[in-house]
Amino acid sequence: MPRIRVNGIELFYELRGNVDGPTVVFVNGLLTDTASWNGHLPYFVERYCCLVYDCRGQGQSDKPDEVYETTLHTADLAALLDALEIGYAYFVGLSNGGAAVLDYAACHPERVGALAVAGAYPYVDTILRVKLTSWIRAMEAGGSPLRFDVALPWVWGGTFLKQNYEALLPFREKGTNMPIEWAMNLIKGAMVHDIRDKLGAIQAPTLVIVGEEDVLTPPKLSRYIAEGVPNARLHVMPEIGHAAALEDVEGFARTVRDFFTSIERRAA
Amino acid sequence: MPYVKAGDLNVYYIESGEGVPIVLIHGNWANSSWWEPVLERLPDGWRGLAYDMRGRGKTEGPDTDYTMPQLASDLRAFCDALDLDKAHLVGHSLGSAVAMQFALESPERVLSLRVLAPAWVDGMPHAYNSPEGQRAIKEDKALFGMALKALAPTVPDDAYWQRLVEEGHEQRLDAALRNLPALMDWRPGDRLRETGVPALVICGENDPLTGGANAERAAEALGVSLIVLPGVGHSPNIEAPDRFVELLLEHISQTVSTEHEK
Repeated sequence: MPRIRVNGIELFYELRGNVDGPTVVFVNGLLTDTASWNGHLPYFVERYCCLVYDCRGQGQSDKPDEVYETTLHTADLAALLDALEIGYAYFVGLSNGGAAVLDYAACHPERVGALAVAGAYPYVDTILRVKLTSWIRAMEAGGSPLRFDVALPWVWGGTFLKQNYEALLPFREKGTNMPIEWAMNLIKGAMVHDIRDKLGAIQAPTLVIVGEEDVLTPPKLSRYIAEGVPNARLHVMPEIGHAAALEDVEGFARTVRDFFTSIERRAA
Repeated sequence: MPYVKAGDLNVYYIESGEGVPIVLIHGNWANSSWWEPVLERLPDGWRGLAYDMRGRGKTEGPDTDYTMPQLASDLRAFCDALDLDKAHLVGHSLGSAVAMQFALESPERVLSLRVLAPAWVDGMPHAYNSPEGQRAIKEDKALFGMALKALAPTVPDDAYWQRLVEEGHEQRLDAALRNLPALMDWRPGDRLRETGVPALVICGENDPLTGGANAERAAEALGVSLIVLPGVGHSPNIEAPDRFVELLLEHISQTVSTEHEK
């Protein structure tokens, strides 16, 4: 299992797919790991070299006791790509990972060929802060199982929950495996994020995806991103919530892959 | 800016300087404006000429016949019309195929050949032929801008770039669509090295369309070296014009000195 020392910690990563193809970097969301991408990678590996990794504080990467602000994730990402000698790539980011990818694209426009984000947010407004604070309060009161109960309707869309609520319940217990302190550092870090002034610096073609039923980071936030990034397009997925990539794995994977390949080839 | 009657076309072109002619040939969804940064940088002693291809930009005339031999024949008519007996040729992407085809047919008229972001010398793969994708970008200017940007990722979003997007998008859809079969049908392969024309292949390190193995194959077919420009994409002529022109002239001066030795 490859781990690499960058920016003072060890990060877990995997490279899969076509080593001769353009690199696509996948950045997963809060409280998840690289397994988030298992369903999507088959759609990319034929053409692309796929890099998945666990952000600081998640999965199999190191978890120093500190608050993981977005800019720290961005610095980790830059250091990881330097270490792997990936100077230029496409990026996919979910939620907090999407926020980090947008920050990276604004800081290093010459290193980003295209990007797709889903359920991302340009800054933490009052209501998002209140939502995330409720997760922290729940965790303090009843540990990870109560945090799971409180977060569930924010994360998953109504349509998806209607059909899959029972299937999600086993994850209520799985979530208790993660020590509360780790989750705290991740959630508190996600609340420190504001790239409103940087959006205009993003050069790459950008697909901004949001679920129509996303109540955690509602379409309003994605519209803000799409209007602020010079080469951006908003893509709303109907009957989908915040966990767009997991609620419709195939639809999400195809949308992102087709976006990358079409802009590569259309102007042939 | 001038027009010249060449064959069945009234060809629009831009030029700068006086001296040894260097003809610049643009790619698909592009036009002569893509060569402005190169024209501005040519030193004294060079006459740079960039024209709009059949069906493109401001060139007037029928736009029904799109085969590589026809596009090469258009180039010959353009050179004839301007009394350019011999010229250096620089082709970008689709334009590189036009230049290579011209060198196959009329090697004696080519002083040297610069192949930038080379077209597929064994035919464009069918997977790249997407008429519906071409229609989509014609119908949607913002999407067109994104698709074009993916092929020139490091160009700043300035007024010049916005003009290239505007002019590119105004292009007739038929002209763009008909070039795709032309690129699929064009497969000169290793015959290219028989031209004996001094040549060089140049591509950007981050060119997702024609870079990597495809550029290596073009260099192999021509029997010449490949220069990969770090940090840029499909369009070094507008992404890194300083480096590109420097490279162009350096290679040409080597070519010319070789010619003198003969």
